[in-house]
Amino acid sequence: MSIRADVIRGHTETIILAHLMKGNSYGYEINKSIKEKTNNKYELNDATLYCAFRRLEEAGYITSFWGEGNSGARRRYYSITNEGIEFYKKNIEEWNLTKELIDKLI
Amino acid sequence: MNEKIRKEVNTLFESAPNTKRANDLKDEIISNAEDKYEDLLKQGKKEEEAFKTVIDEIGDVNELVEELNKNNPIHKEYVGEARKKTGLTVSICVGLYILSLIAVIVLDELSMPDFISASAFLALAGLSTCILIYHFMTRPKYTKYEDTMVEEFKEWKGKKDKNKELKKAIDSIIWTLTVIIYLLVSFTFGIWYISWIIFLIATLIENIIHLLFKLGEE
Repeated sequence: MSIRADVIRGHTETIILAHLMKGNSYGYEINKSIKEKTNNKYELNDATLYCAFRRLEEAGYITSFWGEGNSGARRRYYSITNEGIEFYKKNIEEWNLTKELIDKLI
Repeated sequence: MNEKIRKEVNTLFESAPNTKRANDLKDEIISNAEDKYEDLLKQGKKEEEAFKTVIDEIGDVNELVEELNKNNPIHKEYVGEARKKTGLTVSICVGLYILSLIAVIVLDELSMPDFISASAFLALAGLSTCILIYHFMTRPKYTKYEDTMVEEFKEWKGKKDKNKELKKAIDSIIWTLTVIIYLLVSFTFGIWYISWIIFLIATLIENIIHLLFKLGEE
């Protein structure tokens, strides 16, 4: 049985926002936590992740800043904005509604 | 090893523009890739294998590159407008030069006194020269089209240069006008013995203008 990646992909932005709700984070950490939470069953492709970051940043849902990385290289951190929190809550509501309907239908 | 990752990422973004946004994105990808690489080594993977996994998982960056290119508008309209302005200026000036020659021929045919045709010629040719000098000296040298520090520096420098250019343009115009007036006055009134004083006056005017510029800058 395989995972319907296309369904999950539609929620990439909400997944990222969910992670940032718990505090500031950076790309690799977010992707690692996705992998861990899904027991290695799902992982975002890097390119997808960065595209989502750009979209979220442009929409004003997240902001980024530079911090220190492990090897001395700078690391880009993201934090969620108030608009982002609102957007996240709205998406969760929508998803719950959708889930309810699908559960009834299939 | 970090260099190898950097090199690989740079290759992936070969067709991306050299902007701050692009460099930020590359740095971000590199730092995350390095973290992942270190983790993979800790999990006991071999260096080569870890490197391959890291690079493979970056995936298809086409969409990212495309977006970077889309967000890098080189000001085509601006360049086009500047070219149009230069074209118009040069055309007008060439027209004035031709007109000055025609004026000499026509006035000569009408058997006007020499000083009138000389005056007309010098006035038209001088005006044309002034316009040309002014246009090319005040034309902006550098316009920022990328949001980077380097571009900002260049723009700042360009602005500073622009002041200098403007000064030079004004000087050229003053001296061209001086020569025209000197010749006109001298030919017309035959006062060669005193008309040279205009050069002293021009020097005075030039110095006053420089002083005003300095005061304005402060």
